[in-house]
Amino acid sequence: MPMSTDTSELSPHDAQDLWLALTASQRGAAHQAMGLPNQDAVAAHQVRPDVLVAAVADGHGHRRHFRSARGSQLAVAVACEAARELTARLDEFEASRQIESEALHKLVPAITGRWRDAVREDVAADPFTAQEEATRARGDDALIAYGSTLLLAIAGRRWLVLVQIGDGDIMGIQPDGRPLLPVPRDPSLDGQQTTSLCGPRAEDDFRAAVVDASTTPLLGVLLATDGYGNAQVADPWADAVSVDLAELINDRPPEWLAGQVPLWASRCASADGSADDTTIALLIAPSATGWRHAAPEEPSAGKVTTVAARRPAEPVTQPSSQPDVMREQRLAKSAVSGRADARTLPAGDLRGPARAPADRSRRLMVIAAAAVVVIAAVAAFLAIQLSSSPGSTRTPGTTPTSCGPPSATVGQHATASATAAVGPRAAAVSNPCKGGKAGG
Amino acid sequence: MIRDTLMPGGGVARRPLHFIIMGDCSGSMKGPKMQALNTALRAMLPHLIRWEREQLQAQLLIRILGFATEPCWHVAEPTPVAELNARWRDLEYVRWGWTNMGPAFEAVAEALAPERLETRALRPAILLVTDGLPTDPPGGFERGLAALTRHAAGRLSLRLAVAIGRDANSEPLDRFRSRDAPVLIAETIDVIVDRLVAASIAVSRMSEAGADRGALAQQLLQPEVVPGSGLDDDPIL
Repeated sequence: MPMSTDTSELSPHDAQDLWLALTASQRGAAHQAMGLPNQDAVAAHQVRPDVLVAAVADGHGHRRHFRSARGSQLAVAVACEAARELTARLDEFEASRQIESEALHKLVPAITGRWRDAVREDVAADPFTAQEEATRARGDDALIAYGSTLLLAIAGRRWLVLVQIGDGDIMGIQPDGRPLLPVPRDPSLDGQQTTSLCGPRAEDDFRAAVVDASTTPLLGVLLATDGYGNAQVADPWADAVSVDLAELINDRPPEWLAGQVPLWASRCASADGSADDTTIALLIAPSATGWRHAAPEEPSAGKVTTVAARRPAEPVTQPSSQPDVMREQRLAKSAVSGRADARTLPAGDLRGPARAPADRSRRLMVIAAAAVVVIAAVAAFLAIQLSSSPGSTRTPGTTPTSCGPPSATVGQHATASATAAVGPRAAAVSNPCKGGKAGG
Repeated sequence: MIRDTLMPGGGVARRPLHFIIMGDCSGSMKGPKMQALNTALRAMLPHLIRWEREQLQAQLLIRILGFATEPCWHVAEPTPVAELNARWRDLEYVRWGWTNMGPAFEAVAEALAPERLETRALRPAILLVTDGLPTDPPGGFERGLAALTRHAAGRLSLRLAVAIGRDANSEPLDRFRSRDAPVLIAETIDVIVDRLVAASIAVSRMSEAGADRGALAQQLLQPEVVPGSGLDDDPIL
């Protein structure tokens, strides 16, 4: 599916101040097996030059909600539309409490009212079939069939406005890697049941939060349906995901991240993960990427949408100039891990603030160099072992690593590894990251 | 085909499904009933292994609690079903042991406490197999049941009971079971295997997201009884 972007008409200078939205939605493996559609939905729009709006929604899986895929699509559409009215007045507010009140008392009723209207219009245009009528529980309102959650973010110049009903996660990513979970937890969400737009008191079930970016800078914001969180091996996962996302946002260009987000969704939605529909909207703040931001020129493959909105530069986090080898190793390992592999990062690092990137990179390079030395030693040992095989010959230009003549192939490999281990490029040689460092 | 990717957070995994089996080891289980229970548990494992392989959502983790006068964990740690199959050892009855369910419920409640359960775990499943009425001192059964349902995981757990012998299908078992799960009755020893296998598979399937639990419960109540355990067709009690 092509990537669409609203940034194409902006000059590179304008693009420096943009919020970016990278989104992806993947049908869950369980839904695929049952012949069910992807019941998640996502939308992102630049509603003003300096304001980005993004929404994700998760249509309920129970058969009682047999039109929930439509319900979630309607939810993200009406939410983004309703958000426009608030964004028009966003700069007028002085305090977060005012905006939160506005969100709960005006934005939320606008969303629920429009969603109900949209559902009724949909039913009028396409009445329930006999089969669907048979599925409906006695006394069920038509809204029930369209039941969905909703998570909405309005990312503006100063304010980040968040509203949510039902399960799913909204997580801010702070410059030091710590997660920010501003939306109050709903104790009624027990992992089995969720509040919903189709509920009779949906307005009361919404939760809201407002973040003042002038005092609480963020590198980005993650909105995700529960298929994402339920797939994470780390438990709780917010610390682990946030610290990794902070480093990736700092180290990688948006184009690279745009290619990864659909893969993350696919991994979570697969039978190795939650097997549930998974939708991600990763909003990247200009403070994280402004120094090298550029609108993607060519759409890439995959179900991903990039939308950008302008925002003046906020506190800048200096990105690491060196590849973070340990993180690369850990992330690469996670790419091939199937089930419940323990996270390799020490627990202390999971919760503590991230260290200065330059110091960390230096330390990790030393560790990586040591690792290469060990690998080289093992390789040399193997070379010694194998060199005793009959018929081996010594190759000119290679250095024997044992008293016996090594075989040509093994001798060359062992020597190359040893050279890399003691040379200045040891970290680069040992970097197992398949993606490589694409930029920065 | 999913390509390798740098996955933030350390990787992905299936959601854990904790399945706790509470086996009655009281004195009245001595002899063929205990033997039948062990045979049934052993017979159940390959079915669960196959179920786990075929479904896409859960990693099945099993614990087994034997209970008599006091509860005692037979398999204390959440154990992948394939591993349990490989190192199975039989439950043993407790001579003069009573059928005190309250302390057993409390032990299970402790195992399902919020700090001991993954936040992303599926609704836990508890299967109680007993041949008699609870013999708890006054209030003991109620205290244990209250402890079990105090936290969300226990309260929302799928609780199903298999009564060995019609007399064991008591009102307390009806209070133990969750609303969407029945009490199954194994009237003869050879039916225990079938009931337990059916119950365990149903419990697993009911735990899947979006499962039609009502329909599965109905299927359980009208099972096709397929003798074939090879046990004597002795009536119970």
